[in-house]
Amino acid sequence: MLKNAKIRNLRAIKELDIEDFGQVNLIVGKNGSAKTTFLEALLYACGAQNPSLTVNTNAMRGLKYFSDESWPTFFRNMDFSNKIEIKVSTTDDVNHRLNILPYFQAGQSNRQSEIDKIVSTSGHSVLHSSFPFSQNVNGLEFLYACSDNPDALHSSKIYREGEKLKTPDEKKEPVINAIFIGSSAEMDWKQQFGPVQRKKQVQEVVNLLKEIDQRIEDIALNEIGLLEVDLGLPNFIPANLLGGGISRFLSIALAMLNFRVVLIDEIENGLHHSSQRKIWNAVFSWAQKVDVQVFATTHSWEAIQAFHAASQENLFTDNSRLFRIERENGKCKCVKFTQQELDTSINNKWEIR
Amino acid sequence: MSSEEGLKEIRNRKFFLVEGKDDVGFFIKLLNKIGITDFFVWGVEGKGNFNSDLPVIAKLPGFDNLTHLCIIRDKDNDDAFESVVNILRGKMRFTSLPAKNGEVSHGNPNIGIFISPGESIDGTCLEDLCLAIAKGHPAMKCVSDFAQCISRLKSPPKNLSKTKTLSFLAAQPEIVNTISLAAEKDYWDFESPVLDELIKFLELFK
Repeated sequence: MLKNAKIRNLRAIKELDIEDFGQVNLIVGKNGSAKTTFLEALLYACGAQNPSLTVNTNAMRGLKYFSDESWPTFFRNMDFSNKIEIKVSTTDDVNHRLNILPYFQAGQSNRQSEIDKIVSTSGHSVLHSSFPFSQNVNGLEFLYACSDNPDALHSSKIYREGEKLKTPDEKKEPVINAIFIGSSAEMDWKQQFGPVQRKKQVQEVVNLLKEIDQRIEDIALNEIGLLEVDLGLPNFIPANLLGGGISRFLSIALAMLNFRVVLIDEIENGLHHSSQRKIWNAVFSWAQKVDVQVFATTHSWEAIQAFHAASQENLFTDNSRLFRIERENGKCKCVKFTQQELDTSINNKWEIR
Repeated sequence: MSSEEGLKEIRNRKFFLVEGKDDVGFFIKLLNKIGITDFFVWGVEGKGNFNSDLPVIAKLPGFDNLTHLCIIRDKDNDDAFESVVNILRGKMRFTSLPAKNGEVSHGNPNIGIFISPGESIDGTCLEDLCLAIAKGHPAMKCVSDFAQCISRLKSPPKNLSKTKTLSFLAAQPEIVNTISLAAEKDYWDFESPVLDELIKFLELFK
């Protein structure tokens, strides 16, 4: 499990240190306080040899088309000289360090044209052009080191070559198997459902979905890989048609059953306030059962109340944390609430977010 | 300068935490009178809540921008000053704390603690200070007589100072039932020398 994190120069974060993570963590803060960037930092650290994660997270933020002008967006003030560093330590006292550097793959065309072309590549769309500040940078390099083997420095790159994104280095297992569930992005249910089926955990997912819609009796992949739900009708119907709440429950359920660290941006999205207690009950229950660590962000007061009530109901208060990230004048600060402090704030309706 | 709603964000530079909701208006009036600016007063609804509320107040957005934090609570019959210091030092990890009642430390923020009614007034609570202010008022003779009478009851009031204060307020042309509302009606003479010790302390927050 992740224990602490130190983040430097990633997007809006100049410096952010957060200590003493719980198994289930709720992150609050105003708009622009860098909550999503914090989740991204954990994702990059967990997949420290997979620089494609940067492209994936930009896509989840709505930047579906990738170009050389996207590379600076990861660096504070869009300035490549601000060295990105993410350090995390785990509960087994292993320290992981990831540096993200601008990268230039020599010999590639570096056309100084205006945005001129959009092409689709394997999984990502590439739009190439160049801005003055991009100069020659056409990619990113992940440099990863670990206290278990301090002499080894692992480099992995991603760069644009012509119209495609290249990741030439050998694919490696993630440091920690983690997933990021964006606030609105859809998850690849097909890919996640197979392992759940093999582990015979489909009924657990069905039980959770029943909390939202009692009619749900079963869930299955059809012949073309579409996830379908049995509502007791003559035919199964596609899960996508059942509304945002079911989609959110399904994404979170599949993620928790397949990964060790689950990062959920704006957990309240798509959920009626009455459903939030149910999702948190499921999160706490699975966190204990399958030993998964959860980091979720929210703006919602109801989500905070549901988180707190569910943590008490599931006797999970010792292992749950609430952190508020504050960003003022470029500086980030993390405020941790104890359970008693959370209790006082909620009972008095004092601001936490 | 004060809020009837829950605490949202600290926007002022000086934060005064007092023991009761009913005390808030009294201190707002007094602070304004002596020229303290940019302040906020909040009542914790009983001394038992200092322990739970103070650490949470320190986590409200804007707390870091405070220049001054002031805590005012009743002496009662316990170690009031030490109790507040223990919360500030133990739970909140403040290191720069006033050495004694009525002093303000120099730190970030500057912290002051005042235990009512002060060292120079007999009694255990803010009501004793108010009664001392009202000492020469003609209604106080009636209040004393009433207090003497009810003290002979089989089950007399537990807090005679509060009883006397409310009796005094009930003897005013327009009856009010809190120290704060009385301050709004100017029933407390803020020119009284009885207030010198408290005012001397509050002036440290200028």
